[in-house]
Amino acid sequence: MSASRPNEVDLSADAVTAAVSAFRTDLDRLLSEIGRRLVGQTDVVGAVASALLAGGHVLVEGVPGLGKTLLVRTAAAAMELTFSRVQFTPDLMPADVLGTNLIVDDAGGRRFEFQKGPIFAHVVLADEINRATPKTQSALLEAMQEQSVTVGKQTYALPPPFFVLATQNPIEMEGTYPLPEAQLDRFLFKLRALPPSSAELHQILDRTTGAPEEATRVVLGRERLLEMRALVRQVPVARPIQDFVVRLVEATDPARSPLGEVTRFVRYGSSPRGAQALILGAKIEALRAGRFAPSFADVRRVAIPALRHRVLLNFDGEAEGITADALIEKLLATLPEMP
Amino acid sequence: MATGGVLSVRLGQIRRRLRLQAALEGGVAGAALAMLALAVGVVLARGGGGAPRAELVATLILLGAAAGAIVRGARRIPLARCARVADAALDGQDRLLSALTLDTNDPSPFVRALVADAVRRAESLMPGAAVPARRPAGLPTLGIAALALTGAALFPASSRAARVGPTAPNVEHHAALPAGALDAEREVARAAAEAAARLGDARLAALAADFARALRRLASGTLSDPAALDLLRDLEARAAEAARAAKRDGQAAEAAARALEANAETRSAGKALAQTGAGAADDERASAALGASAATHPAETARALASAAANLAAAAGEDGATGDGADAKDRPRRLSRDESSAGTAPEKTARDAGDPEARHLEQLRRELDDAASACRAGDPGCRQRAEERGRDLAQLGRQGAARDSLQRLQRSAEQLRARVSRGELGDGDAQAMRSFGRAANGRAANGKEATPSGTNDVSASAEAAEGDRKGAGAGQSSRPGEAADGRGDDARESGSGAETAAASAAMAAEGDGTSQQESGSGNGIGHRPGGAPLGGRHGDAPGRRGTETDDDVPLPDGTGPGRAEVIGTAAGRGFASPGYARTFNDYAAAVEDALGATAVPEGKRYLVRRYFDLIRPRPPTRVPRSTR
Repeated sequence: MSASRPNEVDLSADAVTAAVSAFRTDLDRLLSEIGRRLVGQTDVVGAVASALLAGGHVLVEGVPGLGKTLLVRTAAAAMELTFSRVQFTPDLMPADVLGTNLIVDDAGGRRFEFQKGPIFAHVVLADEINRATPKTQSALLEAMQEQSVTVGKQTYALPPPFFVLATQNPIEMEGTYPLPEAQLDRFLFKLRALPPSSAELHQILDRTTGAPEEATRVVLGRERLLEMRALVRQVPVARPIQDFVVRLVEATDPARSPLGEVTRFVRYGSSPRGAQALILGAKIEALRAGRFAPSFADVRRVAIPALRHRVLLNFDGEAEGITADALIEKLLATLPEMP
Repeated sequence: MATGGVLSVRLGQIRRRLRLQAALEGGVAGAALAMLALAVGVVLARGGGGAPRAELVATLILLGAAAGAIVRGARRIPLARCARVADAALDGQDRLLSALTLDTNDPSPFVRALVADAVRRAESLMPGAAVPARRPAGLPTLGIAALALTGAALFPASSRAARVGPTAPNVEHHAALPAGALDAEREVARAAAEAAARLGDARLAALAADFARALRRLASGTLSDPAALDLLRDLEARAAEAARAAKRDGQAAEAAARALEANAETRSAGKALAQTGAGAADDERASAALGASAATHPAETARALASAAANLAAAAGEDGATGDGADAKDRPRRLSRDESSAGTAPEKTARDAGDPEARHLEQLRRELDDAASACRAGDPGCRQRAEERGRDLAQLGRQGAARDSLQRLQRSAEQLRARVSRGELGDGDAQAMRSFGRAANGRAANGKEATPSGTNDVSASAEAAEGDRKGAGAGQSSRPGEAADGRGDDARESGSGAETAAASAAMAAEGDGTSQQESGSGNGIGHRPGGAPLGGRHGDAPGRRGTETDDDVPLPDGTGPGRAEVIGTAAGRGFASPGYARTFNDYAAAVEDALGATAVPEGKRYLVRRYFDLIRPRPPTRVPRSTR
């Protein structure tokens, strides 16, 4: 038995098998509970759960009304986590999100007291984040990366687990500010919420226009979620798989890519955070499948949501209507898994 | 680890099967290569009269197969590849690969679980299932090679000598030309033949016959372009040489006639000589007049003959002296270059010594002197000699009269050669006639009305001459001045002119807008004013103004430029100029002000900023090649 690190679950080989099995069961229960409230969007739900387990954050792009708020609210409720929602508007200020020092007059005299903002929650829904100014958007940077908030000279730790699900409208819509690259890189995955199919729409109407639904049941506790997070970190990754991840991330860099389209259409490739997202996402995919190590297929499965917001197109790419998704798909199709 | 050992054993079994399969494929590939090589060898051997033995062929094929099997079978097969093969046969989730690469001496609990899982799955996997027997990939190649070898062995081959047959000359012939394509040239040949018959000029007759023969061969398509060019160039040179000689003859005859006309006793003979050119009848008239003068006034006749001899010698010498200057333009460039240095007396003497025409004139001068001496001495043969010299001088005059026909023949051959070299033999006349039609109807190609009726030919001819002069002036074609002058002469002398001159005039009228503006690129011929220089090929770029440049945008075949390339090209040219940067900065400042105002919708601000970011000043860049 190896020495355990902080947050590391100390297990024997048999216990590992049991832990993986339990992980799978609990995750299925969580997805099932979310699926009981939310119709469709299975890919988005799965990726949100993966990000929760990986300790990352998610950016969801899509038109209003596709169940993004319901998703994150249901997930928080199913895990018995605190939830807050911030509606981003052009006049929203950083203090409105983070909190501010207020003068409190009590028996002890006048003093400043920090009034926590809505970001002090386990699950934060930053709704329509690209409607706020870049200044307010950037207020989330420290919180998302360091899981802490600094106001004045005081730093406040955010309660673990801390998870931000930000939604944004398509960039072409009125009144939107594009997210800065640094902010985009903080998100583990960028997801696209697609409109429901006809059958899903029928199901939505059946559920929402009839009798009131049951309340969301708690299927995981906060502590269990942290255990699952720790288990994810222990999943080993074979060197060939990791090598594939490294080569894939390098191939998004126009200076090093073997693909001509990347050289021509990409301004900036993925940062190392992209590789971290690939590995973590692949590990969770492996655990969801009951396996002990990720495969090449797991990496391929998470490649697009993990890299699409980290591959920034140049003018040529924008003018030609190239998408980051198409470039990543081409990279996946051309890059050999083992050189 | 024991479990890891099990995994290695199973992967080793898979590796052996992979090696066997590789050896099999190598053997097939080696046999195929050997068969192909043998097929070539058999062909060569049979061509040389021998045939390899079947046992040897079979042995070589087997050797090739064995070599291929050894080479491919001996290649290193990493265990990771075996693991991938096994994983693919299981569920494709890389369990064995991960276990193989993560199995270390101090495995973590996760790795132990991973290896145990991998071993459990590997035990259920049969190596035959992981590497199933399959047909070697090189079998189709082997079949093709076998067919090639069989064909080489069975195909009836003849000896090398029998295979070498007469080879057809690799000459590209024209298709037969449309009727009327060479009418103008035929007319020139016919006129030359008539003039030769009238003047009794064998040299002109031979040239006219050769030209007519060349025209017939061109019209029937039996003459290739290179052969036609050589033939026409030779004809042109011969005609130019003959015209130069005719000019000298004519000048010598005129000078002798003037000397005879200056003497009252021989004036009638001189006048008769001056009118030569109408036919052989003039020869007898001049001969009789000079004979009569010699019979009645031998002393005066002797003086006149001596004066004629002196004038003839002076004219011949003058012509020789000016021949390198004024007449240089009459000669083809090749001759002009050869003679350009001929100016010193010894060189001139040496040249004249080899020139039959010069020798002929010298001989005539001597005979005139002899006749003068005979008459002066009261020799009874004075009359006979005078009559003979009269015939000689008349014949000299007739040879001089052939000069115009020879020059027309030379120009016609030159124009035809230019058309052949430009490849417009089939269409050139049709184009010229269309242009002629437009010019005749008073419509020039540039939209200007032609000169009112009655003067069209003259003005068009003048424009032709002008256009030719401009075109040839800097076009550095052959003999620019001559071409222009000559065509002008043709037009003036023949009124509406021969067809060639008229067509050329019409062409010049049609294209004067370009030929006059773009002077310097013409060819001096007039078929295509302002076109490629004489001898230019198809597709030669026309002359451009000095400020024009070509920009190549690299594009794949069949596609136009993409939006990025369009804007990128514009950026590469103009976005870097200081003027553009100044203008951009002015506008950008105003735009930033406007964006700060509430009047600009929030959602549009980003678009405006992005637009200005795209068109910001930047250094020129190469346009990327489209990959669409």
